[in-house]
Amino acid sequence: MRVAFLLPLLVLAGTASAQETVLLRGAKVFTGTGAFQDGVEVLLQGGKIAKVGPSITPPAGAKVLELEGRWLTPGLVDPNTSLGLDQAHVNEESDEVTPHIPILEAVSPRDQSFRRALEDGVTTAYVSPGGKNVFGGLGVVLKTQGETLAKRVLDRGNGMRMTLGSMPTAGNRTFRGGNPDSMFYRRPTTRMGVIWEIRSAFYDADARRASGDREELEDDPKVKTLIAALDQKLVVRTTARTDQDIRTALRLAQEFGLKLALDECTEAWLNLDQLAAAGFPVICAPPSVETHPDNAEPHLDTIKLLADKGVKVAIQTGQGLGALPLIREAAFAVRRGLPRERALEAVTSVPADILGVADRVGRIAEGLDADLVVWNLHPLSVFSKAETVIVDGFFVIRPAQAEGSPALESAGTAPPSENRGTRL
Amino acid sequence: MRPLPTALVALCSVAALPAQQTPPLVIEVGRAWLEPGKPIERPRFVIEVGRIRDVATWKEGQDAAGAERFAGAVATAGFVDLHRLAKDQGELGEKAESLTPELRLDRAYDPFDPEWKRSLAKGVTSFVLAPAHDSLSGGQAIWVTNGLVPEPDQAPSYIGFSLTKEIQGRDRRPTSLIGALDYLREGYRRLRSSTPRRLDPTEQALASTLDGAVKVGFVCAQADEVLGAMTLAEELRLEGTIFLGDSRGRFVRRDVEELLPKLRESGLGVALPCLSLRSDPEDRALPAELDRAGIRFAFWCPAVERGDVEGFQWTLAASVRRGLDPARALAAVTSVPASWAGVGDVVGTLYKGRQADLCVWSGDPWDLRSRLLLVVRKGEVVWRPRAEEAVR
Repeated sequence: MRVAFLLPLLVLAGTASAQETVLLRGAKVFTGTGAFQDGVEVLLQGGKIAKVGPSITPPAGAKVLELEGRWLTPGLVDPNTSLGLDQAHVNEESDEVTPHIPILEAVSPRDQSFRRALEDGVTTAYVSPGGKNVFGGLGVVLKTQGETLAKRVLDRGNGMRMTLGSMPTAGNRTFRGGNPDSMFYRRPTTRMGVIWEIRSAFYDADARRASGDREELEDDPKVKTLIAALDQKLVVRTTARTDQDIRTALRLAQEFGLKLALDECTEAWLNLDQLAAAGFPVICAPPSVETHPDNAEPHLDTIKLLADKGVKVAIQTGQGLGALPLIREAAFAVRRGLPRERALEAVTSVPADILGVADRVGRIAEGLDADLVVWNLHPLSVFSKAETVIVDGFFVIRPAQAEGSPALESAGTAPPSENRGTRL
Repeated sequence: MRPLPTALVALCSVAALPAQQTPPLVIEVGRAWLEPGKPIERPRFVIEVGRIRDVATWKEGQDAAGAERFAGAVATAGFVDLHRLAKDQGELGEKAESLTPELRLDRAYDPFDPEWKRSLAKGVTSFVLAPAHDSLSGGQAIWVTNGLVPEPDQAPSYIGFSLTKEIQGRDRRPTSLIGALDYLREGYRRLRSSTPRRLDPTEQALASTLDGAVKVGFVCAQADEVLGAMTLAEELRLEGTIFLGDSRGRFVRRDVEELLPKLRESGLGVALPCLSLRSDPEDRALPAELDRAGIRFAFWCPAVERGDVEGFQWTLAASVRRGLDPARALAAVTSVPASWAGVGDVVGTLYKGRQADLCVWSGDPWDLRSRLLLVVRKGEVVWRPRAEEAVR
């Protein structure tokens, strides 16, 4: 116990050394777009990527990591998860319209799920409010590891969750335990009711916006959030799984002038042209998963078909869908014809773009956060393993001693057990 | 002129008689902790009208009239339980509505409940009646002397805000932690309304916490709840305590350890549930960890401990054994909870003028071999061991 308690202190003490200047060289590098390249070196300094290019001369005192035969990618970005939450779908269920409630406050920063994601190479994740409400709340983009929760958070109010389909109707009924006064005695109880709730909320917000009482709006975060969505200042993360829900989402976007990012879109293969024409990004359901909510029918080729049409696609592991690790889901899509580069982009640079955090993560480029993963094989191989994971310049996962990695040992940073420490 | 009725004359003459003087209670012990960290050898406590009238020292061979001497014994202030949940949770938690900070817990308090007597036998001479954990805000916690009726207009010790999962799963708002925080924020936001109006009782209760006049007590069992409490306290500049544990005293220790640096920054106090024979051995080291991290803490007694053989003495013993300074341990059940309950100048210490709540132990209270020999509550001896226990 005493040792366990001291561990964070040791890690804090080691902070300065962990963020030392390090040059990574010799690996095949995927910078976030295009193919793997040889001869690209990456210099990490002060938790950022200081330089990317061929033959970088390491500054005095820099440590050099020889990564011959390894594969280097940006840290993966999972654009929809329920990491750190008690359950897959966390909502305040006393009301259907809770667009302003931030999910961040339900996130347990040291939940084991973050560690598991990190071991699969995911360094940034979007944690989404649940889909049990029509408007679920505001999502959060955060790193899976970091010194403090505050430092981990990239965007605390990212995307307003809106759910179409049957999920928001669950729990609502005409009578509950024979009590018509129950708060669950309410709309929506049908898919049509869901759409009614959405339209009525946006109509009300629009009317309030038109009335123009700024002071009153300041005291009403619910309407304020909806207005931000109407003004396209907030992306509406719309979960639409079935064919008709996808079309409804596109219609609603047109009606209210919303800026959407579509989640799951299991039946997107039925709406390829409409989705391409609308130009909204699609964060596809994990392709390995066979059973989906709303009885939506998955198609193994969906991601490839969307990419072929020029739709911006990212891949998610989702909320309680039972997905494989993110990189395996990308490999699944490759098996059905998605080019490897597109698959890697779909878990790095594209989700970073969609989440609006491309200035921090998703690519290996100068000035971005030093979030990188060193893979033992091509990451899309079924045998690939994230040997080394770097977050903000900290080596948070490093090869086990037994496997032996003399190059990494010579880097002289703290032993892995210390960096595995629990920091908040 | 008619003569006064005989009965009235008799009544007047009785009233005119001087009141019968109750002799002061004089207790002499080997050593006493006036406050944790301040021992005094051979003190003599003169107790009158419920208060400690005088603290002097005694010498061998000098017997004060009527003094009761416990030569080798140790006296401490009576224990103060900062968070005492009533046995019948249904009685002290409003079921229809979750945000009821205006309700006063003493209105549902039964001073004759045998439960209070059982805790007296463990040295708890006063406690704070705490709102049930299954309401977001169950009401105002009121300090009471164990088994006595409190003053009707006594100021609340704190207003409870429970963020644990126990508030969820009912047909009422909130159903989640995020909803709970939103509900509280909404309640406070209503106070900012620009149009002048008379605040309703709920709003008045919330408003009283804003200026620090009334403290708040957040009940949390895991990291996200503790973080939520700290965020809210920072946003609204609330002062108070974080009570760790659901109504059975369960909380995720690992989560809390992670948050120690933030807890220290927040300035909120921490109240830990009593340790028990069943508590995880690792839990027993937490008080010492908190102390090392510079966080002020107190103990409270969750429902599950009631009537068990353990209690505060076992908690003191277990935490001292795991490295906690005995004075800090004693403070966590006497002076610290008393000051957090707003009665630091009434109980929790044994100085002159304080309410005479004291326990006499056969040795140090954090030594499990020590037995309780006497409990005095507000100047009155309310408990002594039965004869066979004293022999044992």
